[in-house]
Amino acid sequence: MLQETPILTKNIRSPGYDGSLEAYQKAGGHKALEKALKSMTPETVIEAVKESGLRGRGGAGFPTGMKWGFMPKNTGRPSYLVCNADEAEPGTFKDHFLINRDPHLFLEGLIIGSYAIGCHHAYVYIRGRSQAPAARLQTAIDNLYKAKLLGKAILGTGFDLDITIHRGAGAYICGEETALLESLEGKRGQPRVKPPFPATHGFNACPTSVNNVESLANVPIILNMGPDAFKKLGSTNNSGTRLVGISGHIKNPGIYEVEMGANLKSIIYDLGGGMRDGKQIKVVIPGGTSSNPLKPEEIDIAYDFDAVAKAGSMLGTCSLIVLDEDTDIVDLAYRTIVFFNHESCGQCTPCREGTFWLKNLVRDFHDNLGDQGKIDRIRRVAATMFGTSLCALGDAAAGPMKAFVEKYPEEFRKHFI
Amino acid sequence: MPTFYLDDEPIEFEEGETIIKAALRHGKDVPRYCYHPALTVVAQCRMCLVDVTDMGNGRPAPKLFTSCSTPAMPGMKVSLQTDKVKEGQNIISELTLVNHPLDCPICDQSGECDLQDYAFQYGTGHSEMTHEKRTYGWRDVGTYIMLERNRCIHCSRCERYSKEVEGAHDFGVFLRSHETTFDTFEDHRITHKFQGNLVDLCPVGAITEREFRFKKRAWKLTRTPSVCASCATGCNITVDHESNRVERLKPRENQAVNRWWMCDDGRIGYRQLNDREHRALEPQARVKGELIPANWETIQLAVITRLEEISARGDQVVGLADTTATNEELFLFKKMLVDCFGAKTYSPAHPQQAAPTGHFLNDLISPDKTPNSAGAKALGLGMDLKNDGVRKALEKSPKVVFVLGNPWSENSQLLALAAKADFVCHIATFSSPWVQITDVVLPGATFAEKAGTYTNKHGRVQRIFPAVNPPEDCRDQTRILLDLMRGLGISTEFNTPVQVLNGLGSQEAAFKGLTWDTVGTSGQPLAGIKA
Amino acid sequence: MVGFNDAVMKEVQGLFKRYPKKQHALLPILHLVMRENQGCVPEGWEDYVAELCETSLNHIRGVITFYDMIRKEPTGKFHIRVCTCVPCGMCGGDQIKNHIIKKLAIHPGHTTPDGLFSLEEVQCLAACDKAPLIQVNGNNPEKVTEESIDIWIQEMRQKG
Ligand SMILES: Cc1cc2nc3c(=O)[nH]c(=O)nc-3n(C[C@H](O)[C@H](O)[C@H](O)COP(=O)(O)O)c2cc1C
Ligand code: SF4
Ligand code: SF4
Ligand code: SF4
Ligand code: FES
Ligand code: FES
Repeated sequence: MLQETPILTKNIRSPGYDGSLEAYQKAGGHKALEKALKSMTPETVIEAVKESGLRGRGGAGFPTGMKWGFMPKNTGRPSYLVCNADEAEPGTFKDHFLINRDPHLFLEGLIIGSYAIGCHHAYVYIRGRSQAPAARLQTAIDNLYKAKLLGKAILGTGFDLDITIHRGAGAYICGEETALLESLEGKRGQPRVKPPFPATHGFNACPTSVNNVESLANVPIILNMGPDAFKKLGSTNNSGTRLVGISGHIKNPGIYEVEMGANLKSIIYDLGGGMRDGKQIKVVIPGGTSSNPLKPEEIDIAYDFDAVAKAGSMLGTCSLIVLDEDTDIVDLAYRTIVFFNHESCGQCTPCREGTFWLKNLVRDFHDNLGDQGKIDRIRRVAATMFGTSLCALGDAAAGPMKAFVEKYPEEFRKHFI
Repeated sequence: MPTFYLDDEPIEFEEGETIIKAALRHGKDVPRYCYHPALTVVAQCRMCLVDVTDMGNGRPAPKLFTSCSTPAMPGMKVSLQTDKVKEGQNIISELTLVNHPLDCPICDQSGECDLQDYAFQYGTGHSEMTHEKRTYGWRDVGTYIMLERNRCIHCSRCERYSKEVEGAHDFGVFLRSHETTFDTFEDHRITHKFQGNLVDLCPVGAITEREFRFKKRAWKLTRTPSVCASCATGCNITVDHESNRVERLKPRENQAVNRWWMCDDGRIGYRQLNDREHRALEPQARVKGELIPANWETIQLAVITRLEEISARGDQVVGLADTTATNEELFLFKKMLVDCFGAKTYSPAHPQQAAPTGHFLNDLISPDKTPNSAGAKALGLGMDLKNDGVRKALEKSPKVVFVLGNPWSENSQLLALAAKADFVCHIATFSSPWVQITDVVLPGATFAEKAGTYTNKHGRVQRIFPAVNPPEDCRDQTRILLDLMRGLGISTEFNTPVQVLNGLGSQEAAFKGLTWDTVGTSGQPLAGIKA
Repeated sequence: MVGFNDAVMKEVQGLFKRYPKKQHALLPILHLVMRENQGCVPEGWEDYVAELCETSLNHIRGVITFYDMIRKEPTGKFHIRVCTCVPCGMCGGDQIKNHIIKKLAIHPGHTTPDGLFSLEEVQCLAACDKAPLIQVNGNNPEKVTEESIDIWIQEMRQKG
């Protein structure tokens, strides 16, 4: 029987914990911050994060320490740390879980990270519709200022830091780091061309690191337990735990913290409680809507970056959407492509035109107007879109469409004319 | 210089240069829509895909790269030929056409459309798009341009131009996803003088010229290189014509002068080139107070006879030339007046631009609306802004006045003085008040009908070429002047404007070292003027 | 009237201090405009904001039309967002949406004539474990059933 491993959720899981500054500190919070600021140099902080093997929790899984290590030093321009709290990938709600329940954990990570990369003004980019979480976060930040844990000379050291919350305004693409930076600069959220990369030309053309909420929440934990102990959690190259959000036709939807590499099937059955009404699983989307669907026979795997990739999908945001036997795959595919089409920023040809075309094709099945030619066309359009778009949204839209028609052709056939 | 390889051919590049930039500089063709050297790189159209088989480190790229945004690396191996890249081009072509109306038969861009060309060259030739395409109506977005958004391929050149080059940002991008549109704000109409550049930048027929709408098939036009004669800047252009009619003027790239641009007033200059109503169309002589048509031989003979009769010299003869004349014409005119009569030539001076504003486009428009003031000055014609010199010369009651073009034609005081002369000989292209005064009209050619050079306000000598034929009885001014000179007994080795320019170098210090060939396609500064 | 009052202007000045350039504060300023104007950016405010942020009108227009949340028409007193994105949609989001449409007799994008309710169909709200759900104004999304919606609407109508 798989059990949760409460590391990030240690506080949250303790009864009566309310996420306030007092509660956080009573539970031992800000020890890592004190350690970093008082007994470590920025370099040793980065070294420790590198050592821990922490990979980004925003979707791509890029090593966080390495990202910070890329930031050029002494450029004469300010450096920025931007926390990505956009969290708009359908099925994903872990970052909001942290923000609502224990905001000081990732904020501590944000302060430590800022120290590590020499940032004196950090931003938290939060999705626009999350007014309540943003307000809660603002209270947490205000309290940090009051406690002199933000502002000038934090903890009596020479380190100064301001944090500003920046609310988006309803655009999934602003979770993509360069679109996020555009949005932070008051522009349309259109992803930028890379190179140059944010590490050298990010916010206001200054060196910038964009990090996910959960990635940052791991930083104090790493400093507290030490990189070696952290590395012992999880599987090879996949250190630490993950906040797994389970949604769909599951008995107990919610957030569960497990070590990376835990068995996917056990997560669904042992933690999620299996399917409602004793139904069978038809499809599992393992890492948010951008990830390819897995069939029930494909889910007896380790839930980490590498094993899920090997199974032909991706770990993404660790968001499990589990759907039962009554699910209409065409409906699922249609909702998915409607989402991506709606959220495409529209600047590059393959994604703008491809998601439009795919949406029309899948809608034909939705309207029972499908035929074999259209199945082939979906596959071809999706395959051709893949890899030619400017940012990863194009791939994220194309991949699942191709997988749906390839894995569930009979479901599409049910909707022939 | 570091080198990369494009289909095995070495291409040298400058540090930090993108693949496309280096490749285009080496004359390679890379299909592209959004890339434009004048604008920031956005890599949105995805048409310029290349297959990087070796990133310079021995490893192939994980996927196709856009050459407009990928910096070249030493030793990089790039291909536009592999199956992978061809498939990529196929895909992008097909996707670009998903919402495109393909109304080429009635599209003004047809024949010079990047989409048409690339779809033909790189596309699959068939379409499986059976759904309804998004459609919009025509939009009246500017005094000079129209917008057909159905044809827009979202390259964003228009928006970037309006933001980065023109600066007013009156072309914007609105909405998102497949609804994204490039347009002006609500019913805002663009009124600035640089709208035509949007037409040129737009790779398809989405932004078109009002003046050119539904008028001509672009592929039927012949493009003759030339220089805009509407102001002293001398933007490099092509004169696009068919069946002896000029249909439009388009900018021709010259980084030293106009880069890729020209102003709309210059473009509208094409109208005058087709104007027959105000044109001097036939040689005329005044008989009993009335101008009557005559043929060239008769009139030339009459002019020579009359001049010999009067046999005026020195101050008794005055030459007046406007600055729409070419360097060659001005030179011959001046030479005729000096060699035949020992007389002087005057040209009107024009107000020059105050200090440059730093706005490249605005600085293109020169207050001097003639193309060759600098040439007249360099040739030592008596230039005076207040017209003192010319008035003094005319107050001495000359017997003969030669007029080339329409100098001072709006100055009735000077005209009245000139009218007192025994004989006024006028080489005219367009009719003006001079016609009232003159004894003979010798009809000349417009800048689109002859060869020659103009010197722009920065002292750059640039060539014009004959694009269309002058009306039947009009003649190239060079020929008119050479015939007159020969008739007056001066032997000259010149027969053509080209020979005149080549000869100019040895006779006029300012033109030292300039020949027709060295001036070339992009011009050459006068001696002593830095490029 | 177009333009912020002194109190909001103070907030704006505070915002400008938190960004290297005025233009960077555009989204927060648009949020203020919406807060002050029943959830929308009314006629005339675009020019005002353009001037405030030292940018072009087309820039503002481009931004406003890019982001879903920025509206041109006022919202009702209770702005209901119903999620029909993937997890919610697969768990009955459409039924909830249709139920609200029937109950309030308005389609998404509209406001009831009494100005009480407006309805918007949205993509994932990052609370999928509560599917199907709605979000009212800026509050945290809540899991709903057709019955719970009936009761809630009844209550809100009574409260006015
Ligand atoms: C379309 C798209 C949407 C994304 N949305 C998010 C998001 O909502 N939150 C997030 O943290 N990362 C998101 N990302 C990933 C970010 O680009 C970036 O990789 C991440 O914020 C880096 O943080 P990390 O290294 O801590 O994972 C998205 C990426 C893409 C392509
Ligand atoms: S892939 Fe889609 S979201 Fe990404 S840049 Fe292109 S159009 Fe925008
Ligand atoms: S824009 Fe090009 S491809 Fe489109 S209708 Fe015109 S000529 Fe044809
Ligand atoms: S109107 Fe023309 S220039 Fe502008 S985006 Fe469309 S295709 Fe490009
Ligand atoms: S030219 Fe490179 S992407 Fe458009
Ligand atoms: S799908 Fe509705 S909140 Fe995520």
